[in-house]
Amino acid sequence: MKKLFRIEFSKTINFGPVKILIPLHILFFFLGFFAIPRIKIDFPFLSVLPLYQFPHVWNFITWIGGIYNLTLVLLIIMLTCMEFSNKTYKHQAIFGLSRKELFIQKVMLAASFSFYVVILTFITVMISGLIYSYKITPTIIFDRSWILLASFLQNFIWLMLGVLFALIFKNVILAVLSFGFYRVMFEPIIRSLVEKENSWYFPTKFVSKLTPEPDILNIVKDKLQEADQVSPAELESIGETLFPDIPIIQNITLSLIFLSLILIFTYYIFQKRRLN
Amino acid sequence: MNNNVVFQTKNLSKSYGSTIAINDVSLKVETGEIFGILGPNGSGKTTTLSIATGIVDADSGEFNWFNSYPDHNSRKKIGSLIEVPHFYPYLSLVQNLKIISQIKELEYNDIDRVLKLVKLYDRRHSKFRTLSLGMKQRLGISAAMLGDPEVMVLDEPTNGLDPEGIVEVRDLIISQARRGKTILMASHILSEVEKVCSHVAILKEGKLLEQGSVGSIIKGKSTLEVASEDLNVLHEALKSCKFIANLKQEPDSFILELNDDSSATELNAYLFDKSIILSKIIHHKKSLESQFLKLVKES
Repeated sequence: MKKLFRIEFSKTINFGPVKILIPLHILFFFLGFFAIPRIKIDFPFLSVLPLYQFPHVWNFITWIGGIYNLTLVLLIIMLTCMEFSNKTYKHQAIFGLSRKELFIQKVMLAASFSFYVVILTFITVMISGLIYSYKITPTIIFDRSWILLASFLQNFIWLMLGVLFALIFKNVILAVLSFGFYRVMFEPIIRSLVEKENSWYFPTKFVSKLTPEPDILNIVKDKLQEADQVSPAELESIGETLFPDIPIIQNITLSLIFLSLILIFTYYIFQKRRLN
Repeated sequence: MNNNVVFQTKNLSKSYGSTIAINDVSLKVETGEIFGILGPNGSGKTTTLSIATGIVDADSGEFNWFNSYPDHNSRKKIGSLIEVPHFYPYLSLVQNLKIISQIKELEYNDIDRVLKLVKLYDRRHSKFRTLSLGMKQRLGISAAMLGDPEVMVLDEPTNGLDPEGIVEVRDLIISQARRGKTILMASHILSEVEKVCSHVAILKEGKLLEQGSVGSIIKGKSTLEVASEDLNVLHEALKSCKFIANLKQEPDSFILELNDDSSATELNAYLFDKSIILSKIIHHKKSLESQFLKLVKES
């Protein structure tokens, strides 16, 4: 395992796009989160500041971070397709790596990227929360820290799905377009054909909801009512138009089943695909 | 079980769609042999070596390394170069060889030795993509030699090399064999195989035509080519000569095979007695090339 990690690490860390995109990912991750609170929004009753305070900051940063982390999906697709275009999978197999080890390498890479996101998120949450929160106690700070695990699972699933698409198409452009098409077009179209309560059984939905959007309505509710802008009845009606949440256990179970399927398919393709 | 057998295939077959790459090929390579797989393009040489190195699965038949079932661990004991070498273009030569060392579970201290052997030590920190084709090929050979493996599998090892490089690689192969290493190589360059190999297998369209030591493959009588000023007189003399087993007329010479117990000296003396002075006498030794062409034509 250590050997496989070292091989994958040396290939990844020296890969040109990694050298460019990872620093950019870190830069925009921090800039994005620390710049927004400084933007003045001219609604007297609405402030984004609560989103940067404990405990809401856990939800907010993992939720928004999900978009940033698509950069990592792009990278893992490039890293996987690069092995085919340079015929280095064949090269490694000739020198003694088994196909199972080639599969484990990419699982380790996806897990490493996910872990990197956890670290980045943790640092951002801590800095942001400590700067903007008025009330700081250990209970408030770590109340929703479990969401880091959900974020790890979410990123790991998308990254492994990226690997699967890269293995199927062996071409960066095709794999990225297919990944995007699946998430933005294919699944939403199919989902729109089923009843709303069954839409939870679609991967994009239940995986995305691992890091649910902050409960903005409740966060701003008090302020809205204080400002006498919206009645409680109106708030209820807004809430009904949003997707209902499903229990987190059900969400994680569905995500783990989906992840298992991705891993099985990926392993199968590694076993069957011609390496040259 | 013969412990000297390093590599063996039994009735190996492989097709790509409707194209038969190899058909019922059985080979046996023993310790210390330089075993050449010879054949025209598309004869199945690379497919055979690709199966041997585990990157292609055979449709039927079996093969083994060191008398045991082949797996990825047995490949770690073999140094291989199949077709063109494939390395990470953005990594340096040393970084690429470190990856191979990690795969083969070797220390890094052999990297400098193999780079010096192939004369790439001075370029060790260059990126792979900056190398010329010949340099890439030499790096492939150095990767195959990493860890001083008992067996090397080389597919067209002199591909892309300049004449000097070809001689260097040939000498490297011979020096490895002198150290008791076993080498399995494929080539379509007959002179290269004849100069280097101790044993050969000849493939055509996926079928094994013949295998054995180079000596046994090119067995048979050598020929003489003779000519004189008056070809008619020479022809009459040769027809009545008891030393000759076979005679063929060419436009300005005769090609003949002598009987087993006769020599060119005796033929020359016989003709001199008949007042015929030869203007040309060339001894054509049978070559692997002529035998190869004959086998391929007959099949």
